[in-house]
Amino acid sequence: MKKGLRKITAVTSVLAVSGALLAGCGGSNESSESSASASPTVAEASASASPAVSAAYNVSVALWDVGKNLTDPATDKLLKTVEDKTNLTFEAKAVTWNDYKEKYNLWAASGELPDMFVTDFRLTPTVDTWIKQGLIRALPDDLSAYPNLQKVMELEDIKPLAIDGKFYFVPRLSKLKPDEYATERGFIVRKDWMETLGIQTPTTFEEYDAMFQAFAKNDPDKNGKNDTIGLTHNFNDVLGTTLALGSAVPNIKGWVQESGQWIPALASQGMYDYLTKFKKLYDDGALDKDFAILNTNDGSDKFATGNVGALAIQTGDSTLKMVKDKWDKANPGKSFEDSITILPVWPAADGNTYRFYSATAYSDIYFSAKVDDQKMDAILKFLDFNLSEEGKDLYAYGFEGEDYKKEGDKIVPVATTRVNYPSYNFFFYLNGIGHGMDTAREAKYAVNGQKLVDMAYDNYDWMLQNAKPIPINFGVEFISTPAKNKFQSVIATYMDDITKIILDKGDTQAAWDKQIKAYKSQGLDDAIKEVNEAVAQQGIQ
Amino acid sequence: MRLDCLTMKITEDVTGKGIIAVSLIKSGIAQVSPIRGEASNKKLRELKKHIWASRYLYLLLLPLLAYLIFFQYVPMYGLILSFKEFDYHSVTGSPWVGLEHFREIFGLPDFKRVFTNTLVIALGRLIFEFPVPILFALLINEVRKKRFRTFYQIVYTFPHFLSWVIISGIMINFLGDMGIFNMILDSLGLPKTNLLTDAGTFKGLLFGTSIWKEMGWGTIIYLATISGINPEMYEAAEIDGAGRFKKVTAITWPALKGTVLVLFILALGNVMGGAGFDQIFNMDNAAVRDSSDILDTYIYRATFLQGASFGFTTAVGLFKSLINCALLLIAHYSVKSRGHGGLF
Amino acid sequence: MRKKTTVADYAVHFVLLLTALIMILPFYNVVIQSFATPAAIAKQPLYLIPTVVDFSSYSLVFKGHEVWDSLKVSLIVTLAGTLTNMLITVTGAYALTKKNVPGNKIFIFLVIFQMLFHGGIVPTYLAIKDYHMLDNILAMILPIAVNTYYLIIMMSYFRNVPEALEEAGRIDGANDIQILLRIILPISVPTLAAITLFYAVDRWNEWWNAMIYIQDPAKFPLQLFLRQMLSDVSQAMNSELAADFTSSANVFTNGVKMAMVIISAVPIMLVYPWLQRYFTAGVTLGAVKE
Repeated sequence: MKKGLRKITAVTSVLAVSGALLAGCGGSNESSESSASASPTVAEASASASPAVSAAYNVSVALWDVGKNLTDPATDKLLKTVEDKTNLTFEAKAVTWNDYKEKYNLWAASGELPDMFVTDFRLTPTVDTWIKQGLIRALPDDLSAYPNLQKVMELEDIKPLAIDGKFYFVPRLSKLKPDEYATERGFIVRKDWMETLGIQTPTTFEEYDAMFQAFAKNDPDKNGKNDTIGLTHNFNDVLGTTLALGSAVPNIKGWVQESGQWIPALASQGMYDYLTKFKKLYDDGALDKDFAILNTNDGSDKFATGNVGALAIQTGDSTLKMVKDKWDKANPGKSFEDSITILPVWPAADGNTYRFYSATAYSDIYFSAKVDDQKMDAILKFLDFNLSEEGKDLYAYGFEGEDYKKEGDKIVPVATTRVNYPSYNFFFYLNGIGHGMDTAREAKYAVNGQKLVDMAYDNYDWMLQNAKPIPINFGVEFISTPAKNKFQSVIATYMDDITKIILDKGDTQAAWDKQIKAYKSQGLDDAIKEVNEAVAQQGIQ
Repeated sequence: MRLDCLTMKITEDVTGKGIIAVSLIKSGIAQVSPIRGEASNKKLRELKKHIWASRYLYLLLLPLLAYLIFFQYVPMYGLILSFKEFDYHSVTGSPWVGLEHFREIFGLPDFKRVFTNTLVIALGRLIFEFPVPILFALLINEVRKKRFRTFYQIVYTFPHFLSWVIISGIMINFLGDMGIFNMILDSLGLPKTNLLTDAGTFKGLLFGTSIWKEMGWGTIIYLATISGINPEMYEAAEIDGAGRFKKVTAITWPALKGTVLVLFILALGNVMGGAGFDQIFNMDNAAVRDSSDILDTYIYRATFLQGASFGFTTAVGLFKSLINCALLLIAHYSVKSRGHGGLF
Repeated sequence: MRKKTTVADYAVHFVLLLTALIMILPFYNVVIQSFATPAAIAKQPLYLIPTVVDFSSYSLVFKGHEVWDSLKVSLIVTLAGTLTNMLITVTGAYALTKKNVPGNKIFIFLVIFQMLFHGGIVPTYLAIKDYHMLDNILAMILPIAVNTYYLIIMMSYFRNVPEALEEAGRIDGANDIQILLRIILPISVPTLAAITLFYAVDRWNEWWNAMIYIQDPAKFPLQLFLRQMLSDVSQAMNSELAADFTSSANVFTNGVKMAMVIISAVPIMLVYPWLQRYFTAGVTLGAVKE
């Protein structure tokens, strides 16, 4: 027995020694790989006189689907145009939804981070670590050479994200301004079912509830079967935040002021109103009983097969087109546009109708620390171009002469459909979102069809006129402290906590009180303390 | 340049290990041997003869060893990350933080719950899922006509090729509010039920669907073992008057026992990973999470948002490995002490 | 001497048949959905009897050359990979069962230890990078050249081979390698077939290593290609991101997803029937009389 033990000990120690030897071999080479990276605290050569970019740069880019979208400039006119204009060529480094976090971390560890990469690491410890260890670089302090970019960096929902006065990212814009989120929440409703059942356009929560119930119980498609659903959703977070618009916590995922101090909306008194309404919809049979087990996009699938009366989903024209495509495949011959209407959420307890409002970006473009100042300048010029009038026109309307003509102030499409270059998505997923909701309708007719575009735009105009944006204080939302960031990940899974209570048969109020206690044990009070301290310190109004 | 450095170290290392090993054995033998000197020299010569006699076996072993060294042991130093705060520039240069990561793990709010779930689900699988392929292998073996046997064998593997993503979709179609199951209940006048959101029955659902998916695939190795049984043994038993059942217990089962034990020990050695991340991730939902959340799904969700460091994830891996190791060794030595083969 | 079919026989068949039905039905459902149009599926809540046969889902997947490239890659990886797997596993397993080989205990320790403990994704990645295997098909073959579970199963099998057989070979003057090849392997066919099947399926389903190590889309195996094509945003935790993504990209119908399942599963499902003949009793007959 002793002999065996000695053997095992000896072998283990041999292994440990050899492991260390190999590690020594490994360690030295790893650091030499990454030591070339410029430390971000090195004073940036100010970009006052932008160095002339004589040679073309090859920029490696990683973002979702880049492999699909970045093909050959010879066949993709949009790509060629932008590459020629900015004197850059782009090289795809593929990542997908399933692997992007892993891949970025691996690339960071092996010194292979792409020049530009997109991810949603905002306010997470990962970004802090990357900055501290010099893996990503900052923008130059002086952005005057990139006027369009500079304007974006000064938006009220971007500015607070600077760290020690420096920006380590360029936001990947989802919208050009927070107002445009008005189309991000709403209901697509079966107008034809409303007509069949003789239902007027609802204006209160009770009327909406009654309408959804009627959809579910009164056989609106007149097929004699009990197979219809009232309200369902395309993404459970969309459901959660849509219902919030009509409650006492319209900004349910954010921070609100109560009794003079800032607390997460989830911990505020308004939650009882939210939960009561949510539960009523579920218990009344207005809400899809399967709402908790649906995967993303299941709701629109169900809507497309014709079993659903109302769908909580984004209501922009692109989303409408997506649902229409599904609908046309499942219901050939039945007009999607004529069967639906867009409805806002019912007014909240305070009498206001709220519209969704949020930060213009959820993810950002980061830059490897290995990018030198001159290359960075070229990249920033490219990103600036995307936001310039010329760039916006290019992405929003296409090529003048081929896709559209300018008649005075109006944009007139030349053809009924537009060529869809794959690289359009490549630029879209960076910051090439064209004119957003300021895009002339006519140009969009060629892409998504006139009826849908008009419906979406009319709804948007109505929202801006008649609905209030949900109250958000971006200064508070983007405070970055350890406890707040930690609690942020608790907030992010709010739908799990709420769903459990909705499905449970017990007392909602008592159950939520219990949940608040659980939040306390997960750092609620520390987060509140740090946030209020930061508010006082930074003088946030 | 890096590769040369590596091969150099490895060659030194392997030779060094070999020399140390030999000298260990030498000293070990020398300790036991009461008569030193000449007797130990004789032992050494014997040993050298042994090694030379086994030279072909060493040759056969070489590819495996090369694989183990290059692809498993070269990166093995990464385990030390469990005790370090990962520095992206250098694994070994990362600063030590001792047991900090482990404190983080145990300090996770729901750690006790998810750890218990992991063990309960994994052991539940051993109890409920593990025996099923064995039973069905025996059943299939009882079918007389070869054509039918082949048919069953092949058809039973079909579910193995469907991913959990697809299967969870099928489950929703089947058990959802508008699913077939509830439609039947409804037509019978019974109240609808949603098994998918019932925390009490969810584990049963996990086991049931997993049995359905993997049972057929699991029979393959047993069927392979059974087909190695000499058919003459069955004929001999027939002559001895053995009935069908007796033939199974006296011939088939003893032949399977070895394989069963090996697979059982291996399963115990994978408890922390065998709870089934893929299945649970695709099938769970907010209502059942308390009951179904295992360590892996919990960490995936929680740190998905927090962005856990590599130090933390390595520590989690090490923790799981240690538990697996303990269970494996316990299983292996208990089986061995009862006179059966064990794992090695 | 024809045996009478007994009640037991009927009972056995009943259980097996019922089980077979439960096994086939969902798969059948996937198949006919892949050949259906969304309109046809929409009409029936439970689509069991196909009303149309439509190939558009398949033609969508096969559009372009990428799927053929990835099929080719998967074929190479499966063939070369399985061959490598079996070569290393069988030789290693056999040698490890010879307990009297000096150092045997150490080697077994090395095998068991690395089954339980791993260095982690970063050091492994760095090692693969050092071996210059990044973006190389070898990265889908060598790093996973041995599955320790299969190795141990193989070892357990070899341990049960009667010593008498090897003795006979040694008496005839054969060395260990010749014994393995000429005596042991021929009687090990069923287990060899089983392990080969397991490895082949594992290699065919390969996507993780490819995702980590392969950059060039031309080198993607089929599973990775299909995964990327699906671009399944159901894992997105942020609805705005998911909305940006789904409304501007192709959102595939259920039929297309089912077609992908069939395309990725059917080729490898054909391997087991093909190997069936090695699973018959008595195939190893004629070795040694017990």
